[in-house]
Amino acid sequence: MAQVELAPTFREERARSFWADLLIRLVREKPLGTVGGAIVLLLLLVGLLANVLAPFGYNETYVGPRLAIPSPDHLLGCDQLGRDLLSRIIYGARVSTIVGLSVAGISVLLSTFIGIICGYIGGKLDIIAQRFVDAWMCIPGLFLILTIMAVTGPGMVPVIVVLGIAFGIGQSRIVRGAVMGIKANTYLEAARAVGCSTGRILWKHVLPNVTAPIIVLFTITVGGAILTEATISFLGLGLPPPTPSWGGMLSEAGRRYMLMAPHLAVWPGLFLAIVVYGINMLGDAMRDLLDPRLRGGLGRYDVAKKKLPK
Amino acid sequence: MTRRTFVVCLLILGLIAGLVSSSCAGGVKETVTVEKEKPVYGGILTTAAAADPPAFDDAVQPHYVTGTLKLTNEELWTGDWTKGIAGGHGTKECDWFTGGGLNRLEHKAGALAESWEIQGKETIIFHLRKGVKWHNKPPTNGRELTAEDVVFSLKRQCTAPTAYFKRTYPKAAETLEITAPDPYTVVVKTKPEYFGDVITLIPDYMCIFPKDAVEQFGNMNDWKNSIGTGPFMLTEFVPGSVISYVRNPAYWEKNPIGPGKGDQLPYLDGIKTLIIPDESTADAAFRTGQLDILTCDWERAQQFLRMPQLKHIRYLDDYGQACIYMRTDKKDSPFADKRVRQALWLAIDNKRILDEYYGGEGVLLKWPIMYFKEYAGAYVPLEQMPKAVQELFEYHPDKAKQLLTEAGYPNGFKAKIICYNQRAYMDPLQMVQDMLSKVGIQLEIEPKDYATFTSLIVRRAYDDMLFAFYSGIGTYFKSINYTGPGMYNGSYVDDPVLNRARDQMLAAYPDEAAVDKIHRELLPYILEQAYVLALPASYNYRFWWPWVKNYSGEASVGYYNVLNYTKYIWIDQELKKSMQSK
Repeated sequence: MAQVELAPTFREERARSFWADLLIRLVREKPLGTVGGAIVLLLLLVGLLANVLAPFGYNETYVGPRLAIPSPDHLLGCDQLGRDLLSRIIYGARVSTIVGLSVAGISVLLSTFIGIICGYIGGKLDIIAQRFVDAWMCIPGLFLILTIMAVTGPGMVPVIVVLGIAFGIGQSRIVRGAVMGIKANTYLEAARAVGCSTGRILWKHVLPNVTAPIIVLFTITVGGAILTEATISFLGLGLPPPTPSWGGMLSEAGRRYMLMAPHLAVWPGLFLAIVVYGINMLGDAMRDLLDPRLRGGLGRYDVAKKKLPK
Repeated sequence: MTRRTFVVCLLILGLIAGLVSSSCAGGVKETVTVEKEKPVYGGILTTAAAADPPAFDDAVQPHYVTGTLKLTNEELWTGDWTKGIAGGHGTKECDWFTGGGLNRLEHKAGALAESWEIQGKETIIFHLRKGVKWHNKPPTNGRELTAEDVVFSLKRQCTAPTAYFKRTYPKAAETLEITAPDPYTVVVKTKPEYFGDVITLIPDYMCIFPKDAVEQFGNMNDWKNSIGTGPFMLTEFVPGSVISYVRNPAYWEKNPIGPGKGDQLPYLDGIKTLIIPDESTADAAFRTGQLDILTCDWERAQQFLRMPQLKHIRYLDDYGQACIYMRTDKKDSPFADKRVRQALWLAIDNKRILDEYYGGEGVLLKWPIMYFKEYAGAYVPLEQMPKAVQELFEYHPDKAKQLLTEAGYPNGFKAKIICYNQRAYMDPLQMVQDMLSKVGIQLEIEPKDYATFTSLIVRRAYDDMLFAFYSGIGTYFKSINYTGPGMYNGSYVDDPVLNRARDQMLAAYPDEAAVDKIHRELLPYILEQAYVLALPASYNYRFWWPWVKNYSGEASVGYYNVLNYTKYIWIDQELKKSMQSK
C-alpha cells in the first residue's frame, strides 16, 4: 500500500521543469535564500529601471545643497557636489548589476572551458594548465587585479574583463574537479564506445552533469565581483567618476566626509552590504539545493524521507 | 540711571561682549604675533608629509621631489627672512606663505654666496661665504666649502642626463660657463637669451654638494650619504614612516632679526617629518598635538578653526594649481576656434563652483598668474578687466550655445579630457562635465595614475583636453604658460602677440618693474583669448600650535625652499608640555 501512495508523489515533482522545481524548493526549504533571491531580484529591477526610478541624473550637480542631510527633497541626502545620493545609489545598482552579471558570465565561461577540457582530457595538457592555475592562485588576488588594472587603466570594460579572467582562472579548479568526478562513469564509456566525438561527449554528456556546480559558481561570483569592483573603485582603479559605483562613492566622498557627512559613506556601504549578503545567501541556498552531497537534512532526499510513512 | 538699570546694562553689555568674544574665539581671525621673548634652544619640530621623498639628489630627480635637500644642503641664494614677517620684526614685503614660487631678485639674500655682482646679461659673479663647513661626516669630515664644490655641483646640473636643468633647459645648460678664479669666487657666464633661465634656476634653485663625496658615491641619492652645509643633518629615513634630522652644530648662520638677533642658528634640536598619506590621520595627529604644523584646504580647516588655541593663516598658493588645456594647434580641433573656447568659459559657472564647492573661499582669476602682493604690479584684478573678459567669468549658457552655433557646433561635440585620478582633479571636472553637457558638449573624463599623468603632461600628449599644472608666479616673465614648446604651454599656444610680449619681457629683465608693466598690459588680451579654462582657486590654511615660536605660517623662504624657515623658529617646550597635559 505504501508503494502505491508514494509513487505518484515523486512523479508529480519530477514532472516540473528544473527551474520551476528549483524555485519552489528554494521558497519551501530555504527562507534565507529566498530573501537573498528577493534582494537580487530587486537589484535587477532597480538596475534595469534606474532611468525611471532615479529622481535626478547621477551627475546632475547642485540639485541640492552640498553635503545635505536626508530630507523629503533628497531622501538620502546630497554629496559634495550637491548630487542627489538616492539617484546615485539607484544608478549604482545598475553598475553593480552589469559588473556582477558580466564578470560572473565571463568567469563561468572561462572556468567551464578550462575545467571541462582539463578535467576530461587530462594528461600533459591538464598538468601544464593546472600548474599555470597554481601559479595564478599563488599571487594574492587583489594585488594581481590592481596590477592589471594599473596597466589597463580604469573603466567599466577593463574592470569586467580583468575580474572575469581573474575569477575564471581560479574557479576552473572547481569545474575540473566536478568533471573528474563524473569522468569514470559508465555512460561516458558508453558514449566513447559508440563512437561519439570528444566535443559531443563534452557538450552532451559532461556539461549537463556539471551544471549544478556551475550555477552555484555563477551566483557566488556575482557577489564577489560586486565586492571586488567596489574594492578596486575604492582604491581609485575601478570605474572612473562620475560613474556611480558604490565602492567609488565610498572612496570618493565617503572617506573624506566621514565626520562631516557620514551619510555619504553609510548609504553606499549599506546597500553594498545588503546586496552582497543577499547574493551570498542565494548562492548558499543554490549550493545546498543543487549539490547532492549536501543532503544533511537539507536536500531532496531528506524532504522525500520525511514524506515516507513511519 | 538707577543702580539696578546700571547693573542690567552692565550684564547685557557683558553678555554681548561674551558672545562677540566667543565668536572670535572660533579662531576665524588670523593671528600675527610680534615675538618678544628671547628664543630658547632645544626641542623637536614635528611636521607631516603625504609621501616619501623619492630622491635625495636634485641632479637625479627634480627639486620638487627632493624636499629633504632644503634642510640639509644649501644654494647660493635664498629668500630674505628679514623681508618676510620674521616673527613680527621683518619688513613684510613678502609673506613666504606659498609653496615656493616667489622668485623676485629684490627679495633674495645670500646663502652660500655672501654677495654677488650681475654684469649685464651675461655674467654673474658669486663671492662665497668664508668658513662654511660641510657636515662632519666622511669623506668631507667637516672641511670648508670651496668654489670647487660649487663649480662641480653647477656643472653636474648642466651635464648629468637626469638633472632638471639639463633636461629642461638643454641649450642654456650647454652654453653655460662656470669657473672658479679663486677658492671663494664663482663666475657664471651665459648668453643673454638664457639669462632669465640661468638667474632663476642657478642661484636659488640648485643645491650645492661636496665634490669629493659625489665622486666617491657616484651620486647623493642614498639618504645615508647625505652631506651638506645646511642647518640640519639627515639621520634617519624609514620609508612610509618618518624622516629625522638633527641640528648641525657647525652651521654658519646667525639670526638676522628679532629678539634672538645674533643667535647661532638653528634653535631646534631636530625635525621629524612623519609620512602620513591619509588626510584624516594627519588631522587627528595635529589635533592631538603630535604634529606642530599642518597645511590643509579650506574644508579640512573648518575643524581647526573651532580650536581657538591654534594659530593660523589663510593664503593662496599657485603650487600644484591646474587648468584645463585644449588643443588649439590642430586645425580640425574645435578648440582652434576662439569662439568655442570662449563658449566653454561661458558654459562653466565659475562663481557657483567657487561658492558651492569651495565655500566661497577662493578667487576666480588664477591663470596665468594669481594675486600675490609681491607681484601686484604684474596683476590686474578681475574688476578692472575689460567687460569682455569679466563676462567670461560669468555664467552665460545661452551665449555659449550661440557662440558654438556660430562656430559650426550647434549640437556641441564630444571631447576627452585627461586628468590625475585624485579628488582635487576629479571633483571639479565632474562639475565641469555636468555644466558643459548643458550646452551639448559631452566630456569623457580619463583619469590616469600619477606616473602616466606626469608622463603625458611633460610630452603634452593628449588629443582634446588636459587638466594639468601650470607654472607658478616665479617664471611669469618667461611666459612659459602660453608661449614656447614647454610642458606648461599645454594648449600649444603660438600667438604672435604673446610671443612678442615674451620677447619684450625677457629683454627688460631683470628690471622687474618694467617686466611687471608689460605683463599687466598683456593680461586682458591673454584672458580674452581663452586659451585655457581656469577654474577657481581655493584658499589654503596653515595651522600651528602656539608653542611654535617665531613662526607666522611661512612655508618656503625663497624659491622652492620648502621647510627652510625651520632654522629660524623655536619651540616653547614648557608651553607645549603644559598644553599637552591639559
